[in-house]
Amino acid sequence: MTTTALTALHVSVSAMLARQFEMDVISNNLANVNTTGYKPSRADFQELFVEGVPDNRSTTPYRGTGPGVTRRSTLPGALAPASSPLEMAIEGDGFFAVTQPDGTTAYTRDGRFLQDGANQLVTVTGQPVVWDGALPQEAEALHVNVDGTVMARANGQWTQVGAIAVFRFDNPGGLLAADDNLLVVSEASGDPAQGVGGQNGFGRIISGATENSAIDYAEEVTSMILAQRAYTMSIKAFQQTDEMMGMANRLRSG
Amino acid sequence: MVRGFYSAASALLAGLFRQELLSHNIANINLAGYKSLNTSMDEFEPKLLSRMPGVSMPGTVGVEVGQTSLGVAPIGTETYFAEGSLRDTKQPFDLAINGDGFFRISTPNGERFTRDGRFTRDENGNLATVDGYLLLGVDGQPVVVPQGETAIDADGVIRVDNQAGDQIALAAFANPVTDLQRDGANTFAALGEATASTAAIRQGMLEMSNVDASRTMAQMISVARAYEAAQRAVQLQDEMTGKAVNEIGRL
Repeated sequence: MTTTALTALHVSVSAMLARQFEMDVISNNLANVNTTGYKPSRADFQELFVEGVPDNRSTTPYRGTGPGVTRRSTLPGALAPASSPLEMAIEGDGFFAVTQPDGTTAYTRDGRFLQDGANQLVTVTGQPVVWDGALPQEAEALHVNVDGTVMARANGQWTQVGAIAVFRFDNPGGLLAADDNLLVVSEASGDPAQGVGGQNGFGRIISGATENSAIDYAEEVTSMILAQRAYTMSIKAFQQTDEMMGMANRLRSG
Repeated sequence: MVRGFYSAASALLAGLFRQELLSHNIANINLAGYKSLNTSMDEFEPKLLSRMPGVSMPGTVGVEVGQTSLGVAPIGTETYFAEGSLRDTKQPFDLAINGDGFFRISTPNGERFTRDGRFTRDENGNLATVDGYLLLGVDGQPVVVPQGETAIDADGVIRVDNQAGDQIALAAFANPVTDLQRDGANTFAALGEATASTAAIRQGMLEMSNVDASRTMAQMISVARAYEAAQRAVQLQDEMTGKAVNEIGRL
């Protein structure tokens, strides 16, 4: 293994960049401690270790630590009671589907839905929920069953007005974050499979409840401290390499 | 006298090499399953000194005066395989090995071994590492995890909704230091024979790196001081050579 002072500096720089990215991810988790249906992400880095010296023109570090992946937790958040029957949570595996303004479908576990002026079932940001049915203009009461069937009561009679499907993925942690607490399909997540709540492993739909953010505050703060400590150590290593380069420069000054 | 220059210079190079490895360990201090690197240093082969012919002591040509060392050389790196501490992450596909053993993973360069247990269930239902390499089962094929409530037993058997499925393989090596070669990206290539390991798999946990922060900082201080001393040695030799050149024999 050949070493030059510059490669030693690059090792520390790669580590400092990695820790900064890690802090961004942790800060984003902490900022979403109260976001309904939020799942914390984790930055997973990978060791960079190449024997020998790369080509002179290469600008990529070849030892140190490098970007890996960020992945989203799939652990459930606690359920909190909500005032409206149209606010719902999924207990178990799965996501609600939402149509984005550009017509594509996004997925979320944030089930704070409501009936808008056009009697559409929409998210808190006004995006229509993908479901099969229509909300009545006026109903005495609404209810969503665990299998996603939406019931409305008129003149004391309950009738089914539609059904909300649940979607799940082979690798839900691989979904990409989009705006408004939504997630979109990626190559890593795989394609969605549609199912009925409470059947074949799809999560049950709980009406009148929402899922709290799944972040574990203690875990995030621990990760933050670990990242900070590692960052400080890499700065120290960087400074020392720099001092060693300085000493080498002063060899001849006597 | 010039010999002394090279001895001191070799110590400077060795110091930089050790500094880079310490920086590498620090860069990976929070990396699951990371095994720290140590430098192995070796003296250059000592040489026997013989007296040179001179006017002051005629007849003493070829008399041996003893051995001298020509400095120090980094001969490579050695991996320290001690087990890291376990961190509870609760993620279903974070796996830690409690005891001696390695996960077997399939990479484009062949089978590799790692203790990095950060797996995800990928879009095909296989367990994949951070780099997307697949975890192998006892049958040598990538393990498949159907969707559902997953529990992984200590012996590596994957149970989905209480149905036993594939079993994760663990490999053991008689002497990891000589049987394994570092292959980048937190993995090792086998040089020796792999046998089945009886270590226990812990689900929802990760083995942290075995880099010891305080020991690393202490080592860094010792590198700095040794480097400083070598630098002074070069300077002193320079001054001495200067005197010999400019002052001895001045008329």
